[in-house]
This record gives sequence, C-alpha cells and structure tokens, in this order.
Amino acid sequence: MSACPAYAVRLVELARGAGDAEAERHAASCVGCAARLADERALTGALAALAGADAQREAPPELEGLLRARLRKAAAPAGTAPRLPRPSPMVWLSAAAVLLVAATLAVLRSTPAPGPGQARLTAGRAAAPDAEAEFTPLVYGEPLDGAEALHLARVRVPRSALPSLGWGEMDDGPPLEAEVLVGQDGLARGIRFVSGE
Amino acid sequence: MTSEPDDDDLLRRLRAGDEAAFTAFYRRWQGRLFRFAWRLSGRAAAAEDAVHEVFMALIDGGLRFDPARGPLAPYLYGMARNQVRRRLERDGPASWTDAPPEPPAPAEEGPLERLSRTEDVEAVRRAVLALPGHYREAIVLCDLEQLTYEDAALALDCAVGTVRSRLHRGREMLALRLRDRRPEPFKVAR
Repeated sequence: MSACPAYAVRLVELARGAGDAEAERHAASCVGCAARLADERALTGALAALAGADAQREAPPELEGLLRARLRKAAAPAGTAPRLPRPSPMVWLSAAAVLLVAATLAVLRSTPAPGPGQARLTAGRAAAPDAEAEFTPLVYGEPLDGAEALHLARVRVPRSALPSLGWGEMDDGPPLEAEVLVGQDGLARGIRFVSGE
Repeated sequence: MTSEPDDDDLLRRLRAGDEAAFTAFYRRWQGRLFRFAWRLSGRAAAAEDAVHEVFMALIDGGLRFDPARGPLAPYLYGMARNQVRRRLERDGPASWTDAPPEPPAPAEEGPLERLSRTEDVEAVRRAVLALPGHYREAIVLCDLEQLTYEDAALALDCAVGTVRSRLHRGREMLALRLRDRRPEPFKVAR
C-alpha cells in the first residue's frame, strides 16, 4: 500500500527529524503512511551510520604541511621568495601570434567567455595545469578585464612550445589544454591552462 | 577563559599571512571538505585535490567569500563541489577506487554483527555513490553533512525547492536500491 500523496513529503521530513505531530498522528492510523515512515526512518538511520563510519576520514596529514609552506612562501616579502621571471613584451607578442592561429582553428568550438570584468587575472603565473588557473594576459600592457566582449577558445599547446611562450621547461608528455580569450579583433588576450597530467 | 576564534576572524588573519590562523582554519574545515568530496567522487585522490584547491584559493587570494552574501560553509562546499565535478568530467563517473575505512565498532559487538554492520554501511555508501550526481549531491550535503536546505541551495547554486525535491527523489531511489538488498525495513518505499 502506498503512502497518501498529501503526506509523502511530510513523512520524509518527519523521518529526518522535523517536528510534525499531525503527520505522525496520521501515520499512526494509516497503514501505507506508517510503512513509508518506517522506511524513511530506516533510511535516515542508515545514512547516519554511514556518516558516523566516515567521521574520522580526513585529508592526508602531509597536505597541511604542504599548504603551510605555500602560505609562508606567499606571505614572504617581495624579493625573498623565488618568483618566475615575467616574460618580455616580445615573448608575449610572439605567444599571442602563435595562439591566435590555434584559437582561429578552434573557433568553431568556441563558447562565450566570462563577461567583462569576470576574467580573473594573474600575471606571471606558472604553467602548472590547473582548472582553477586564472587568465594570464597575452597582449602586454593591455588589461584583460576591460569592457571588451571576449570569446573563449580551447586549444592544445605542445609542451615543447612552453619555453618559447615564456614558461619554463616541462617534462615530456601530452599537449596541455588551454583556454584562450580572443578579442573582437581576433587577437588572443589571455590564456589559462586547464588540464594536463 | 578563551573562546575559539570564529571563521571570519580566522579568514581575516590568514589573508594577512597569519600561519596560526591558517592552521586553525584548515584543521576546522579540511575533514568536512575531504569527506564531502570523497563521498561525491568515491576517490580519495579527487577529494585530496579538492581540499588542496580550496585552500590554495585561500592562500592565493582567489577565495572571494563575502559574508554579506551568505555563510561560509556553503561557499566552501560549493568550491569543493566544483572541483569534484571538473575531476569527474575529466576522469569519468564516480566510483569507489580505494578501500573505505572500517567503521568504529561498539565494544559489545560480536564478529557476525560487525560483519553485518560493515556490509550495511558499505551497501549504503555504494548506493549513494551510484545515484545520479544531482541527487547524490543533495543527499551528501543534507543527510550526511547536515547542511540546511538553504545552505545546500547556496552550495549547489540552485533554489531551495530544487534541493528539497532532489533530496526526496534521491532518498526514494536510495530506498529502492537498498530494499533489493535488504527486504526489511525497506520493503515499502512508496
């Protein structure tokens, strides 16, 4: 026998701990709703058992040390922490030209870019593959977060090309996926690496 | 008597590079975020990555939490959830790839009872992971992490009513899966 449709949602909430004396009274006098309530309570208990079983599960201890080291490095005064050299304007222009070709090839797969002001910027960021990476400006001296409408194109960049784009050497491996912001004039404005290993 | 600093205070201090504040904040949140990401993905490595990325965003200043727009918990869960989703898109559907922990056993429990309880917990874990993503997220946030509907809606970036209906539908699907395994007390799940 099924639960009464009018009580189905309330029985779930009752089983999850919400106070509903009227629904409880109804379930006491209705076979279908009583069965449903017992079922929901059993499910709540099973989920609580699962939550309890996993309660001690935590991130590996070494992660805390790694992150604290990164915090110390980030908080160090300028000049005391090693920083990646910022590529010269000519390198960026070369990179823009290379990426423009790639972006043009990929334009059929392009998707709308973040709206003006939404592109997140970090200059001189390392090329570590990172889906949360921020866009690095490619046209030197031009801000990325202006009012210009941008398109987003996904490209694949060979690792061997990274030094010529201003990043350091990387181990051999498959090409890195990157997203390129392309301006209305067709020039690449910024890049971020979105995946890798 | 000293009271524990609240999250806002810790956040403000760690943004200024205070390592003690970072450590306190990390220890307060890493377990919750790890378990959440682990339950969504079934992969410890994905959960570790999610925790790493959330805290790296804190360190790099990429965490743009604004207390005026809502509480911190849904913001952090939302970030971890986005990391897991990207990972699942890249690596394939959620599945258990590492051994789950042994649940703590009551002192008076015998070997057969322990086996049965362990099997039950495992069955529930796998049933949750087998749910479609939207329902799994709602159940993990509301029933396992104990977030309110309002906070879960913020974390999932959807309406409160959507969370509620996903949770109810997810529980229905869960009961169906578990009923097949254990006739009682999941025999009438409608």
